[in-house]
Amino acid sequence: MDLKTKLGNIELQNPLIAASGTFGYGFEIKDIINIEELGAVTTKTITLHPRLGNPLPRILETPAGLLNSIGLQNPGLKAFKKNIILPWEKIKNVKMFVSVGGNDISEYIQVIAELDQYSRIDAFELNISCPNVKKGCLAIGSNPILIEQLITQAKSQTKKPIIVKISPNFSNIIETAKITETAGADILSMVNTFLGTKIDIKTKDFYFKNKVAGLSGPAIKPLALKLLVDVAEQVKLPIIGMGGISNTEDVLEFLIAGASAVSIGTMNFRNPKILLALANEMKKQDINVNEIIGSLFNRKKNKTLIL
Amino acid sequence: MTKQLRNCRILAHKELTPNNLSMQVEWLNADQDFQPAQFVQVETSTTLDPLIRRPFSIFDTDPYSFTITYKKIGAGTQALSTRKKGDTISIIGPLGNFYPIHKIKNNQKVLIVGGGTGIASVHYLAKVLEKKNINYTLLIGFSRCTDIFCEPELQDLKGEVIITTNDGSKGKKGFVTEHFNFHDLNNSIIFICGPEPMTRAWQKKSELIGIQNYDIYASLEEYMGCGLGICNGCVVKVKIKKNDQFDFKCVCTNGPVFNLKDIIWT
Ligand SMILES: Cc1cc2nc3c(=O)[nH]c(=O)nc-3n(C[C@H](O)[C@H](O)[C@H](O)COP(=O)(O)OP(=O)(O)OC[C@H]3O[C@@H](n4cnc5c(N)ncnc54)[C@H](O)[C@@H]3O)c2cc1C
Ligand SMILES: Cc1cc2nc3c(=O)[nH]c(=O)nc-3n(C[C@H](O)[C@H](O)[C@H](O)COP(=O)(O)O)c2cc1C
Ligand code: FES
Repeated sequence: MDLKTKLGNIELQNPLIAASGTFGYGFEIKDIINIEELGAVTTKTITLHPRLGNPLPRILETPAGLLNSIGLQNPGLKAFKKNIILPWEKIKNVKMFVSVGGNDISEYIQVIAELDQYSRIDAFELNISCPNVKKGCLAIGSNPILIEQLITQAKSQTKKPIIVKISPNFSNIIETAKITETAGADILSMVNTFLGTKIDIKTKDFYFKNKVAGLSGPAIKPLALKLLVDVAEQVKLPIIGMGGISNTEDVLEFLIAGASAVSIGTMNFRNPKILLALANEMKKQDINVNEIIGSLFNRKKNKTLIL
Repeated sequence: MTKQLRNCRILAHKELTPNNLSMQVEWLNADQDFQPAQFVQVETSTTLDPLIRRPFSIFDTDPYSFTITYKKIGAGTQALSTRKKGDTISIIGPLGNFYPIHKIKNNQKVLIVGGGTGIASVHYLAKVLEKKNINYTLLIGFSRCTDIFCEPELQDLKGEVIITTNDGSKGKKGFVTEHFNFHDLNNSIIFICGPEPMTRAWQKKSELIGIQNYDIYASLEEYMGCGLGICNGCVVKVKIKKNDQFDFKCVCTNGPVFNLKDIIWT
């Protein structure tokens, strides 16, 4: 069975997407996996100016999970234009989603304005959910007024679809999703990492210099799936679901719960071929993607009818 | 050789001391594919806990396999120690840069320094230098004699090998830095891999004595997320030459070998 699917107006050859920050800019891993066979690659969040990132330590494994405090280390817009776009022009079939971050709204907007000219870019993903930086991102993502302003201004800069990546760290994720929808975003991406921490019992202090870090990996899957169910029920926007996906069953659960496509993050570190392996397995199992997407709610509706 | 992800057969898995093991893994043309200081990312367990791979340096190669040596210190190495001869294990490699052997000039003295688990890469370096007929002195430090996990292999080396133990239970007593006349280093090139305090001690001592005329290349270790240059989890602070600023470089792809002069310890 063909795995072709639509994410809003974007046609994907399959619903498997590499999550931002876990796939670099796509090249680092191309000796190992043919990225042209993926649905999409979301590039590491870039910002207007280069960012050095957070002090060490930055990574710690937890049971079936990973805490990270990278702090959006990236070479900045200028280097992105110089070194990333051109090689991407030669890459076929796979969609390119460019994740954008910033200290304030104007920085996001400037990045989008300068990148809009490149036809290779298929969509922008606004990262308003990175828990590892002090300014911007989460500070915007936790403020409904700023979210709305950011999306409105982003839409005025580009005709490319705007994906908004939201955080699981607030109690009102449904509200955030609804604001995103009314502000005119095209696609919702959820979720970014869960805030967590670690105490070093020898120093009796936080393990990470930034005190907190973002938790990802299989450990967060049930939490992320629950949030997806909540949001998918209330919001019509197409959703990219993610959080701890590690096998075909996980992919199917997210699709059934209402995601139009799924992203895989941390598991790329364990198995850099996982995105393709799962796509191939789904083909083998003859899964009709479009039939199962959101089937959780269709069934519920049917049930209500019968009752 | 570009990095590859392969499912490989474990050809041998041996306990060397109660906490140190060696694992020989099938890999055709390993002796050509792997350079000294390069490492592999090993899927230690078959379950999701431990989750991410663990990095290990190449200890030795032959035309059909490579060997790693490792110390059991946590969940990942514990899981690895349960894998059996004949099992399949997932490996990504070769990864990272390597000791710049090409920078050794004619008649230059070559000093190799290793400590703890860092001995793997310096052992491989010594073997490769032997094949190229380059003389070297190898200085190796252990905590105590019971930690010496590769004595037969060290004895097999043809160059001068000096072993020290911190407690004096074997070889010379004390740290490796104490057993070297740093003034002797004129026209030398030094390769080093060991615990961070050892590497820092060499940097400090050489700076103190003010010897300018040699380079120390150190293979560093950092906690790794991906090993592929993707996550920026494994960075070290390095000086940028043109000004007083610094940059973060990935140990996994820009390293593990760095010129010690460039490293800013945090
Ligand atoms: C390039 C490279 C080459 C290496 N080569 C070898 C080798 O040849 N033989 C060998 O025994 N080990 C080697 N290591 C270290 C090895 O990867 C770690 O010992 C291993 O990851 C520990 O995993 P664990 O789950 O058993 O322990 P964990 O539970 O992850 O860690 C136990 C303790 O060790 C510390 N630690 C873990 N990983 C590292 C690290 N990379 N650097 C410093 N401290 C660490 C942790 O902070 C913790 O305190 C190498 C590391 C790197 C980066
Ligand atoms: C090391 C690391 C770096 C990340 N960097 C980014 C980033 O730059 N931008 C972003 O939107 N998400 C980033 N994420 C979050 C992931 O894209 C993803 O939302 C999250 O890890 C949950 O999915 P997973 O459980 O499959 O990893 C990062 C995650 C990890 C583990
Ligand atoms: S371990 Fe991920 S960049 Fe080095």
